[in-house]
Amino acid sequence: MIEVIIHGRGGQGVLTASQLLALSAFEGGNEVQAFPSFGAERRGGPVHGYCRIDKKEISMRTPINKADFVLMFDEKMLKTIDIIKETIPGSTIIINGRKKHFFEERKTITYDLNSIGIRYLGKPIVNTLIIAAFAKISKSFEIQDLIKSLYKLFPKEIADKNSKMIKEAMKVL
Amino acid sequence: MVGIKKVEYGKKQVLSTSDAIAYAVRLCEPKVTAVYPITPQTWIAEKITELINNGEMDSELILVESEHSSCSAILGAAATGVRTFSATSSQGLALMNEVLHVLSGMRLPSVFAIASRALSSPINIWADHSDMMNSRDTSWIQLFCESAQEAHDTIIQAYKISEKALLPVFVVVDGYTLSHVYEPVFIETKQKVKSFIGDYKPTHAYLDPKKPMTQGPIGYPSEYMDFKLEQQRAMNKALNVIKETNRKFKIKFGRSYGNGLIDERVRSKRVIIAMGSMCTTLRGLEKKYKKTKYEFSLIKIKSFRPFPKKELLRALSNATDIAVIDRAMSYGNAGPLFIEVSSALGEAGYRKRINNFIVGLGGREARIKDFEFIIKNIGRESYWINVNGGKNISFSAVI
Repeated sequence: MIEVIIHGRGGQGVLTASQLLALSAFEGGNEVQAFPSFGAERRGGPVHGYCRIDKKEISMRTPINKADFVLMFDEKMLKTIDIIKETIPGSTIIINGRKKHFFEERKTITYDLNSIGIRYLGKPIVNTLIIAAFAKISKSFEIQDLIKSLYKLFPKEIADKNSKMIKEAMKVL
Repeated sequence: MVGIKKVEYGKKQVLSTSDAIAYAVRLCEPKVTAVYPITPQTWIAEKITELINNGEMDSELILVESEHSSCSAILGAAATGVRTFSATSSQGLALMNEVLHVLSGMRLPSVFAIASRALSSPINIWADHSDMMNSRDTSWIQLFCESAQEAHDTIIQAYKISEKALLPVFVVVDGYTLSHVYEPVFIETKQKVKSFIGDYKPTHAYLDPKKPMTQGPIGYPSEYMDFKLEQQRAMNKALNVIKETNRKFKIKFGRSYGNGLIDERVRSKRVIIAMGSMCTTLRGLEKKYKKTKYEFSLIKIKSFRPFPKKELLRALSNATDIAVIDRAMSYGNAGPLFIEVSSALGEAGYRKRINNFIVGLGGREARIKDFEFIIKNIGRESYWINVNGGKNISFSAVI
């Protein structure tokens, strides 16, 4: 089973990302379970999303406390999040940012997704890109599964833009 | 709330449990829906109002100013002889309380979805079963679910149960912990659901100007108690109605939930009894500990009311050690489910080692290590789990 934690800020589409992740992984033949952080969120404040992906039935409804993957929408949030505590050794941290980050026994990958988002969407929206990066690294589903899921969640116009962006971004991710 | 734009009927897809409930309601087509928003039930009400607004669901929607009013609107609507629906949580359910008794007393069928949540004070919006236990004696059927699929299916079953038993039904999902979870769920088709539940044809309470009737009059001491005896008869009969509905559901849809009342997959001398979403985790652990020193079997109580005493006692006949997990507390005594199980065992003259664990009040995390502690302590001391900074405190130490 792969357990994923997503960190971002209210308005960045964290809940959408956890759903998109679940939809794509399901499309790719997996069992899935996604949930938001429970409570009251507000724009700009920290928001967390969670997702379990497995080939087998998922017999667990506890919170995810030790993740295999962390998807970080904003590198500044690393100041307040204890990555070592919430991940297992050997886990992978995918970060949207410009700086290099290092966590012992963890693989850290930083992409400047903001600039890709600005180029294709006119806004630093990175939620679909970070799922694409996850798909490539985790190999738990194909980019095609993600593209298909975009059209299930978004209006066609937005899905088209994101789909084009992801296809282009895959050349550099 | 986001979500799939277009849900496909007759297909498995990833949806929130709240959506799975809303689409089941849409398939059952209640004529009247009355809702008032309250967290964490709001996603259900939002989806239903959206479906009605889009013209995808045909139901008279009554938006009210409180839960007391939504329940009263449902009472009035159900008395005219139509199918009805509402949803709520926590304080909302508590505010409905006096009207809940009227609906069941007048033997009006209805289905309410509850995203169960703690009661104030202190104010708290997260999951536990306090709101359900607070409604224990309202003479409503209470069916607890553990997955989006079970919630979807139980709504469909609930209309059939309610209209046959002439008692209203709560379909319960743990707030957030289940109501806000996205997972694969097979959404049924209108045709199949329609042929399963049929039309509601009221014979005792309806509106017909040619046949005027008085509903809900006073019950003098010379009648009241006899009405109440009938209510108890109806609850007892509902046990079979629930079982039968679950059996027929399996034939029609290929899915079922234990015998509809309780769900036990294996039998062991060591038993854990629980309700709601934690049963999924416990079933995972049941597999993990199989053939070890700590082997146990899980009995999920699906129907808390009516309480399936006979089925439970049968399942416990060879048990030696029993742990009951409660996600609520009857202050001054123990967890409500523990009291029910103890009473059933006592009545039958069974002597077993039994203890109680109070878990996850107000959304407090129940971690794997907490469940493992419970598994290792079945039939020993009773505990409050994960309190005072992660400790387990025995009942005897709570002084």
